[in-house]
Amino acid sequence: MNKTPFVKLFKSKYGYYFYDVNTNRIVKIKKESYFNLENALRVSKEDSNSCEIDQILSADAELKQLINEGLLKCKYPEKIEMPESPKIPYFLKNKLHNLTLQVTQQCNFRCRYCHYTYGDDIQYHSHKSNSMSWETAKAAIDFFAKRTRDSLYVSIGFYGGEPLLEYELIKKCINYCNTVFEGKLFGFTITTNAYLLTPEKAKFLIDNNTDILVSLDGPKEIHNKNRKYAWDGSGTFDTVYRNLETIKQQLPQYIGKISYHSVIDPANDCSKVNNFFKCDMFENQEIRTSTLQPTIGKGAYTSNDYLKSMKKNRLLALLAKAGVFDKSKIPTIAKSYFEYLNQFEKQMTIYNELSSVMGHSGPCKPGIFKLFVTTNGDLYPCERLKDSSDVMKIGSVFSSIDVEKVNFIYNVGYVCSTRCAQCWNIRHCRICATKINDGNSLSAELCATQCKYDCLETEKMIKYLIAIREVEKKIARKDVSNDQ
Amino acid sequence: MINKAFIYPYSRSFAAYLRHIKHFNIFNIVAAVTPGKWANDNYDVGYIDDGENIGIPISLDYDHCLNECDTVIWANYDYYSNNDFYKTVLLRIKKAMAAGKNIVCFEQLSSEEENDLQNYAETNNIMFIYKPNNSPFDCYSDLPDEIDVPIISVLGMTENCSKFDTELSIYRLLSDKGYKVSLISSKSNADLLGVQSFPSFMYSNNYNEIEKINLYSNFVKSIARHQQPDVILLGIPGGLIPFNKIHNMHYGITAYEIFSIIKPDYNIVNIWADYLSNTVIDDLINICKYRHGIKIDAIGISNISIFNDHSTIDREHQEYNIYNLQWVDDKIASYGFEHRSGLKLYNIKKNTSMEKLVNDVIDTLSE
Repeated sequence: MNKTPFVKLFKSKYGYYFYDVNTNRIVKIKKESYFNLENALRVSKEDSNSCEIDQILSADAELKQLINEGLLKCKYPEKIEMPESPKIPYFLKNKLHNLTLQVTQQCNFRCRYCHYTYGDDIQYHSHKSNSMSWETAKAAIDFFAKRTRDSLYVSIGFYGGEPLLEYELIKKCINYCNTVFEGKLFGFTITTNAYLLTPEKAKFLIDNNTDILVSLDGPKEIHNKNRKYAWDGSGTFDTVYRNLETIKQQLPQYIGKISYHSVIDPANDCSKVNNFFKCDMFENQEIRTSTLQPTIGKGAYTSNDYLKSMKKNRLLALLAKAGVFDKSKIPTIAKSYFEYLNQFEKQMTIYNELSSVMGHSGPCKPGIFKLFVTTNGDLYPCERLKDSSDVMKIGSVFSSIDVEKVNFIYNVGYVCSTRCAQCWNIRHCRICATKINDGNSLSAELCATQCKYDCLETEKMIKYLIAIREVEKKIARKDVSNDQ
Repeated sequence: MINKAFIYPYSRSFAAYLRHIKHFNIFNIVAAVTPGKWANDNYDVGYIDDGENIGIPISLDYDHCLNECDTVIWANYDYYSNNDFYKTVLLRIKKAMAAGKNIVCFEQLSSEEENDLQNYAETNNIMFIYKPNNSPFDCYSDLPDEIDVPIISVLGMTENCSKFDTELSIYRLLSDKGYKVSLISSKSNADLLGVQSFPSFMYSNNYNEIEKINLYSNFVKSIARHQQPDVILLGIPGGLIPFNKIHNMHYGITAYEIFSIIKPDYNIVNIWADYLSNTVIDDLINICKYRHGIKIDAIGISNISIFNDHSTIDREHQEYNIYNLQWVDDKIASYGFEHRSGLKLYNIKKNTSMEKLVNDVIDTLSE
């Protein structure tokens, strides 16, 4: 019997901690207990059944007490399998939530980091001249609608290439969906480069409950560095910004309903991005940011300005989270980080213990939360796919969804099930089939690499939560002493 | 005279009503129209809550049904997704009235809306049947202390676990066996089915909690005196335990108020299929025993379960999974058919299972 407590040790400048995998709790312990626990884990590496482990733990009063309280359990999953797997046929029949239509594969931009374009690595699609026909779009909407009996919330997204190249098709789809989904809570989403976004189009989309997300990286010099025209490679900023200004002038009540997505390139100084989004045009609007990630195993140039600025942003987000800094005053990039911290904190729900049969937290239910339809009607779990790969293809709007394939993709943990069952990150892992698809199969090798990076990410987040707690505690102590 | 009627807008929340209406031949219903085009045309209406077939087809064509029928049964709808949809429904109801069709209204209306529609009905010389929750019973006089009629209660671990379905099934099966049953349902709009709605004073701000408890007791006594039933069946609104802060299931307050004064002779607790476990049933037994002073006699397994997913769980309107009856049967079988305390489990959407439950009710109350 494995006697190794399922934990991960952490220490900070101010304390000693362990993350208890079974209960999903971060627990502060005394220095002495920390080293005893570390010692027990060291012994278990040699022999996980060793009686010495028990002896070390029970000799420490604090650890003994924690064991009595239900912590430091040695329970590990016996089988890696998603507990919701038996419900997949039900979900696929009655509970689809988001439909994403790839209305075109064409784009008028050639962004340097775009999955479609060139960049360092062509990971996903390539720009082709294919567009979706109305017949395919209608078939996709009907296919999806008939599988939403028990979905109260339904969303239909338009994806490209650049989706506004097919504005007339989008309009037709929206009008059709308004009839089909009557009686449900439904809306639309579109991510656009805004080159073709006119006041008339913006009005139609927003009036029809469409969330418009404009890709805008920041000020001209930053935006133009990566977002370029397809025809001459020159920067696209001036046209995009002019279009937004026109909408603001003609439809001032609508401009506030547009949100923005900025891809942060570590080669740039991101304080310029923060300053850019402070201007009137973006007042009170949602600005999402994501950082350009290099392909795993390959480096990317990171500027010193970026590092300095990101440090400051993270610190502000952490201080805001600890209640030391006014969260309404944190800069744009720090806001995304603040939200990320919130999301992670939400995942720290306390449990009794791990289930005997369970899966890691990464995969969504393929096709159920998002059903991506290519221009020719093929079905995929999401847009992050490789055109040439059949690994992730789960069916066609002209036939059906392959339930077995969906279950296979959902249970991606099979690929590394032995390691997965022993991994301290099982409750926070973000690995899904898309991330380990090498084009031919779900790769155990890619899974191992991703796992390493993912554990580091969770480790970092737990350290941040610890830091927040420590700051909160110090402030509380200061408040008490001030009161006295 | 109502010859042919159709239901609109049809959704899961009306399926239980429809089963009952069909069984008692209250109206001659030829179709139920779902909004939008997401439902399957011509499927049996039982498809909407994965219950047993009812023998009425789903239609997606409101105008066709309007031409075919003389009456529209205006159903209460799961959720009005936004005001626009409610306005659409209202427009379609008025369109029906303008076309000379009668309306039977199960939707809860404001007094303004009711007056407006009654006037519109008079102008168009049609019937507008709307029975608000007015209790004909005297709850305010001193009544004898004891109720000497057996009482059955139907409770839910939470909301949305098919209590109303259970109430109507027991009501129907006992009635079929020749018993006179008085049902005070958990719903506020059940009068049109010929049963008693849950009394509105229980939700009123005009009474304090103590007054409500006494009024409810008098209400039950008054029904016992006027209707002289063989058995009284109580549907208890809300749940017994909160699911989370947003979906608090009224914190079990209504159950607490009712059981403060009434101790039924047989209590059925419904639970969501996905939550069938020893721990849950143990907790429910303890809650009923120590908080409400009642004993659970049977566990009903609903084919509904909350969609416990991070993507929707914090939203205002909760989503549910609706499983088919075989799924529930399998769930009960894999659990072992009864709780370790000996409590039997019933598939409450399945007629054969409900017959067994009703037989157990009769055996227990006859002892």
